[in-house]
Amino acid sequence: MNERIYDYWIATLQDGYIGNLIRITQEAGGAKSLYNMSKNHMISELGLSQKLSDHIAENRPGEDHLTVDYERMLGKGISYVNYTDDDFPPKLRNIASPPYGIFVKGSLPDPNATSVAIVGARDCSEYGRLMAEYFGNRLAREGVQVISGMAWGIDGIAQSAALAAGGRSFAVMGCGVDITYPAKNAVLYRRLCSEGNGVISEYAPQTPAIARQFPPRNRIISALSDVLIVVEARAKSGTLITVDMAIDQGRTVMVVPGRLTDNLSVGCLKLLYQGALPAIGIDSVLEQLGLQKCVDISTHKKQRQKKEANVAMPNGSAGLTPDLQTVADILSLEPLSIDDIARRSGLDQSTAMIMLTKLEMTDQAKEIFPGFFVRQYSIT
Amino acid sequence: MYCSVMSGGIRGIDGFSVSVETDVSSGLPGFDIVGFVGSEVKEAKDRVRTALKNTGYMLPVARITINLSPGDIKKTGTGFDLPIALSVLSCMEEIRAEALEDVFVAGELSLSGEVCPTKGILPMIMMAKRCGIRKCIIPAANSAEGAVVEDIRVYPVSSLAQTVDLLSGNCDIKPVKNRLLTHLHTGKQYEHDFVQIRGQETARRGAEIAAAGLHNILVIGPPGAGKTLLAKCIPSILPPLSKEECLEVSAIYSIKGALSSDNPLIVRRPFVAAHSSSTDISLVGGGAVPRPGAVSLAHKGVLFLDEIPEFSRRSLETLRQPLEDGKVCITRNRDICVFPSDFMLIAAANPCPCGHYPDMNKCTCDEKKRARYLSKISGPFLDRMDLCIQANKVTCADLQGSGMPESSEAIRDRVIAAHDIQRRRFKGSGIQFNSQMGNRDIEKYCSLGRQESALMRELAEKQEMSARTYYRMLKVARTISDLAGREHISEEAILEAVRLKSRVLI
Repeated sequence: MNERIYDYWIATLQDGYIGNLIRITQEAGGAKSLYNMSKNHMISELGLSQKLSDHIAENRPGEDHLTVDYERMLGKGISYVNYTDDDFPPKLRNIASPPYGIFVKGSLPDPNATSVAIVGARDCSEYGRLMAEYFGNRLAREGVQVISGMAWGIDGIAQSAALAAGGRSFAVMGCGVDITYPAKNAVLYRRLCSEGNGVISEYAPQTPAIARQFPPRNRIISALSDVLIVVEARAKSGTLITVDMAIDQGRTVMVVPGRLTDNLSVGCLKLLYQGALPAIGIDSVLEQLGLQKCVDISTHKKQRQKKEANVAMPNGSAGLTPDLQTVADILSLEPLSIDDIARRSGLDQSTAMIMLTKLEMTDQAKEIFPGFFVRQYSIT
Repeated sequence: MYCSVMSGGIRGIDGFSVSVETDVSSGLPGFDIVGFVGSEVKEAKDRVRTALKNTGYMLPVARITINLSPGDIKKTGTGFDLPIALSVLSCMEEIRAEALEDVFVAGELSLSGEVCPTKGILPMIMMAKRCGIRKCIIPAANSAEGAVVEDIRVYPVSSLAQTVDLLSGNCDIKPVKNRLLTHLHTGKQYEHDFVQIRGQETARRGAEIAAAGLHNILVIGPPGAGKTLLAKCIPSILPPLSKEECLEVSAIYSIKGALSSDNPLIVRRPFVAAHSSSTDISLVGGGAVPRPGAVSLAHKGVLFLDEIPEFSRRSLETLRQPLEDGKVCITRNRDICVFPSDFMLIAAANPCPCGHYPDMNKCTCDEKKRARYLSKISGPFLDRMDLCIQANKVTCADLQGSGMPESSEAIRDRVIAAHDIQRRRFKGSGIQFNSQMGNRDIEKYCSLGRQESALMRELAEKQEMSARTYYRMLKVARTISDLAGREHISEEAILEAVRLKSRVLI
């Protein structure tokens, strides 16, 4: 216990700027000796910079204080796992710059189960939303753990879908694990804190969400996973940082293809061009995970399957009246205004609006923004 | 020697009679004005003295006391110059006292003795008429305003000398010819007409429903979609103003000094646009001497607030009373001024700060900015909006489309029919339009059949509607049914009403 607080203290020093704390601690001869080392010693013996030694010296509360802090943290249901501990995720230990320790609310991923990270744009399209739901849902049903950053958009959607499908999911945060960031994902956060799932961060509890902390946390997301799936990324996207980290760590990168005309797909398409694997369905991911063999990729006429899109189907459309059918057929994942729908269907405004409400009531259409509609799909 | 002349002041939007009393008596020479007067009225002293001199009258070397009665209402404005001058002249026996009996006088004087226009002539003449006065003397520049009040002779004068001649019978100024009916029957054509709006079918339908039940609406659409044009067209589909309404609205404009000689009577429903930088006072009225604000200028017409998320929460809060009560009460330590403000509110907003959402290829806003933008509109304000309609980007196909869009006149006929139904329904209940129904009225007038209640229940559960949304939807469904001439709220009306309430309106 007593030794533990020194490790805990070093972990709290982490703020996204600091160098390799593991190396520094080893050279200092352990956490306790670093704690007791004077600033001049740090500079002369460890060769630390003035700035770094200042940082360490200034953030060195008394031992009593540290003990109280540590216990208070445990009291809040947050545990601390040092990189030397047995339960520290092996995948995370074996990267170039593992964190000194991680704070965990809930559980850590099962090291024996496979994990897939799903990341992408915060500001996603309906297509991105559907794809995130699809992969989150299907992977969860295959018993694969879904890792992500709990961000608004793709991250959160994929994790929610995994949880909804009864799977396990883990969020790696860029802030303290006791901070719900973004606050809009509060429901997801609460569910992730429950047993079997988890919220993980290398930053101490109460660390606020600061931009510079997010790129380093992306290395933990990719490290904890076997395959990284990118769903929607713009040309300049934080997601691409995660991809770089994943490649450095030797993880497989898969990309959900998009259309050449969508800005939200530009980053994805570039990755594909560079040689990333397209994620064309759950089977393709499972194959990369070694859980299933042989995706049917034949394009030969005789072997080609009849089924067209095998990912998601528009919600049931049997027995619709002709007007409803017309409107349902017009809708797609592309948001259409009521004006567009009325024009394309040839119906008058009132009828078009009535049909849309009826379709909405039966979960076949969805209003994504006042006056804009998409078709609702179900994951197959 | 004592003499009195009748004039008038403005309190709120109503005139009140003021008797201008003058006494000339021996004593230390002086010229005093008393009677709770504002500084511009005090200054009348110098204007009157000089104007009299330049018209050829020397003030007697005596003690002159002017009293504006009643003494407990603050008097402001420059309209007291002429009555003061006339009452002084009457004391000097230049004018016979009988000539000033039962005459209402108002007008500002210039130093040369010219009579200059003054604000608020219309409500003052209306007040004089109520007081039984048959003869009014007003500045010639305001004669057009005077010409719209019936059953009262209004004499326009352009100088003090002319006024004296008129009162002495030496001058044959004819009373202005009443032009009320002419004005009422001409100039009804609106500048903006729905015939100018191509495409925008959803917005047109929404506007028609809003006008039919006088619902306040929120219009969401990208920049350049025509939100402002749509709002400008809405007065043209409301029923024409009645004679009384014309005079009531014109009185407000008269106080603001906004009536011109070309346009002395407001016969079209006003359209008033307020900018987000408007001060609270310019919006709802106020000031040391309370003056009507934009909400009162929009009385019986349309108030348009563009870029509603840019309005401060405070400004929008100040709109609550006018929206709720149809009037603004401004309390000053001695007075309560009431300005009518019974308007239809149209608020407009872009879908996001850049205006292109949900076109993900064009929208440059991140999700946070976007969420913050629309959430800036205060909740209590949104509660007062019954409908949310979308104005979409106009396409080239719309602009080049064959056939003329429906004109305002055709839409107006349907709106009037719907208003008639509402008037009959609400007879004696104290309300006139569907939008004014409270929850109890809604339960009374929007009863649903078995099938319709089942549909409402299903919708409410599906959309997790709040009680407020539920009632608001019923109101809109009632209006849609009225437009269709149905006695009962139909399923179709409910299904359409759902579309016109929006998630933005929660």
